[in-house]
Amino acid sequence: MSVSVHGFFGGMPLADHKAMAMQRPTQSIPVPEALYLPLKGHRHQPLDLHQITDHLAVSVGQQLAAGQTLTRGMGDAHPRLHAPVAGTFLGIVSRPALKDMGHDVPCLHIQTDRTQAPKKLPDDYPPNTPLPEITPDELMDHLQRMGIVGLGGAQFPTSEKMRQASGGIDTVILNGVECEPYIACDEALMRHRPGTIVLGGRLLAKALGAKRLIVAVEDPLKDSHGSVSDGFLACIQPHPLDPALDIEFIEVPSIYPQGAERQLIKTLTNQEVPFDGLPKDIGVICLNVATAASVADAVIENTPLTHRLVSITGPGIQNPCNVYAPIGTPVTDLIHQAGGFNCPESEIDLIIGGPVSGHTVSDQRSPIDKGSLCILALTRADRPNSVGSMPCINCGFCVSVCPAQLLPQTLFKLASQGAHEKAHQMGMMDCIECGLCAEVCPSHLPLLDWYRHSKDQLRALDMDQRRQALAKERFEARNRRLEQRQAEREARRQARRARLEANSSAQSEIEAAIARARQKKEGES
Amino acid sequence: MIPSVLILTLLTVSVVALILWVSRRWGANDDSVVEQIDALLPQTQCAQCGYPGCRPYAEAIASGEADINQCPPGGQAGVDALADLLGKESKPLNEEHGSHKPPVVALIDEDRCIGCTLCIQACPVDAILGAQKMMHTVLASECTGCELCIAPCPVDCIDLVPAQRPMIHPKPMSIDIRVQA
Ligand code: SF4
Ligand code: SF4
Ligand code: SF4
Repeated sequence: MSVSVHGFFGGMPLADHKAMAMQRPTQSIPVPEALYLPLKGHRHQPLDLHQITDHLAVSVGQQLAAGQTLTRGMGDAHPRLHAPVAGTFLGIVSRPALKDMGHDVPCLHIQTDRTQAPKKLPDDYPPNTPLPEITPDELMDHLQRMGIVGLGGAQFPTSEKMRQASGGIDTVILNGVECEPYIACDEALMRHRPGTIVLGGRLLAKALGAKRLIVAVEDPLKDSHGSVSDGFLACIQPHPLDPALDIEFIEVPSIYPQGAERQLIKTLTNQEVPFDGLPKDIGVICLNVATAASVADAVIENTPLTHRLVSITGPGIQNPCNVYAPIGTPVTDLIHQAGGFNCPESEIDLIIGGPVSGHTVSDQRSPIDKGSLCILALTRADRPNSVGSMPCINCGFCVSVCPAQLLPQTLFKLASQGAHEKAHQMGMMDCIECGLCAEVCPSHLPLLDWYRHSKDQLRALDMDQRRQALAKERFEARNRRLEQRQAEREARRQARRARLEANSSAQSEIEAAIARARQKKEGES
Repeated sequence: MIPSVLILTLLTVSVVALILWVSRRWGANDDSVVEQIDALLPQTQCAQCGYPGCRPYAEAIASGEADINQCPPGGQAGVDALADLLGKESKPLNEEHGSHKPPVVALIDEDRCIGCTLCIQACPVDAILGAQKMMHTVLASECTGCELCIAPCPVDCIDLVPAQRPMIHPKPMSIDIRVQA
């Protein structure tokens, strides 16, 4: 098998800080007092309370067993949630959302039973673990029931992704490229559970009819424990389930944002995903390694997705580490587990995600969701962009790094003037929010924040336009119906009058005839 | 000298004639102006502008009968867009027709509804479902928040609640640092 690696446009190598979180073994967090499971499948589809209460599978005050289903039947857009640990369901409460500063998100509030032992990161499956026979449809339904979503951040339901892609998939890519500095939760997983990841990949490849499985990691993932590749290479051997499946393990150069889906696909296959298409259009599907591991767990052990690895790291954290935490754990508990901050809290910039493309966490009570990779505490000194900005000098640095081949400075000018539709024409929606442009900008312009604002505005505009078109259509349809009814009524009235008139003219003819007859009679007499 | 004047005159006349003919044949007619105006109106169909819906108001603007600042749901942005389209000077929203409010949807208190069907008849976009003596309900996804169903309800069981809006990432608060001279 040939292992050739191509590049992608733009990008830039960034200083790597993974070792910070990797210096300590992966830990489990003591069961937090309360969990708040965010009820938000998709960021741009707000849920209303009616919708939620219709789909709750538990009632307030009910005792929950670990792994019990909490929501059901919300379709693929709002994947199921399960109780991570045993406890009591206390109802739906609002908590500050992790990413949307100042917004709240409805959460399922669980009072936990704190005496129970915390769940540990499961052991790796040996590569020759027998896999159950399961048809593609059964697998997708099962993944939906187990609440499996993309764990790389987007939280797109895996079942839905597979359904969209089924037929015509040739290559399954397992994405282990964690390109942002500091984030190391996938590295921890790859070191602990390479066999599980590969088993998950095999299951996915079989269900999708793919002939090739690629596990991609960054090349410098070596430390005193050796490279992650050692673990993977041991697992890559033919398996009775799919002797023909070609499994490759590829190390790609660490150029940010190599881990972004389109960029990784370009590097591995030298094919570009059409800007208005999906990877499936070129026969590829790309899933995070953690997603693959949760697929294997769901199929082999029947465990729903209730926990995930989160990196708690950064120069502001006392004991940076990777934590295996239940979904719904408040950020405070995670930071507490990592020994708290090592400097006054006012000095800290708390970020969810990486330093380049992460979001500011404005409230530490926010609970983590299935897409939370990393809680990063930077000190003010690490964030020059938070200091202030100067006008754009048209240096073009941003253009040369933009992996989406956009013109960031133009987009910035349009977005900051509120000309969102013009920005749309310039490809605003194709921005992958990697944040590199803001990283290299010598004027420290908050470019990424402007794009996020502009993209949200465009989505809202699109929603409004669709609603308007619908209202117009319904208004016109109603008017047509009313007019038609009016016309029918009018026609009936006309017909009645015509009938009456016909009757009355007949009547008068009779009367005239009678009168004539009478006259005649009178004349005769 | 004379031939060139003649040629140029002829050319000018023929080009003008061509332009006139083309604009007659394919240029904007009344209908397309109404379409364009209607496309800028919010389609709430609330009749606050004084016309029974957005399309009739668009027709009234096109014929010069109505002013451009009578649509409260469209707000000032709507007035500006209309002014832009029609090449007119923009003006403030006419508050006589109502003031601009954040979007709402109607919600029927299903326990109090007596099933009179009056709201169904009032709804301009058929967003209410129900039948004689049966509970009624509003399809939130189709409701435009026009408020026309509120007044006819004899038991006052329809409320307006804020419409679900997608979240918007806040505008960055960039602090400009300028070099002091
Ligand atoms: S954030 Fe968007 S515009 Fe900026 S470099 Fe990345 S893809 Fe390009
Ligand atoms: S990097 Fe910053 S200063 Fe340079 S062109 Fe882009 S936005 Fe302007
Ligand atoms: S006031 Fe109401 S009916 Fe009139 S144009 Fe505006 S939204 Fe349409």
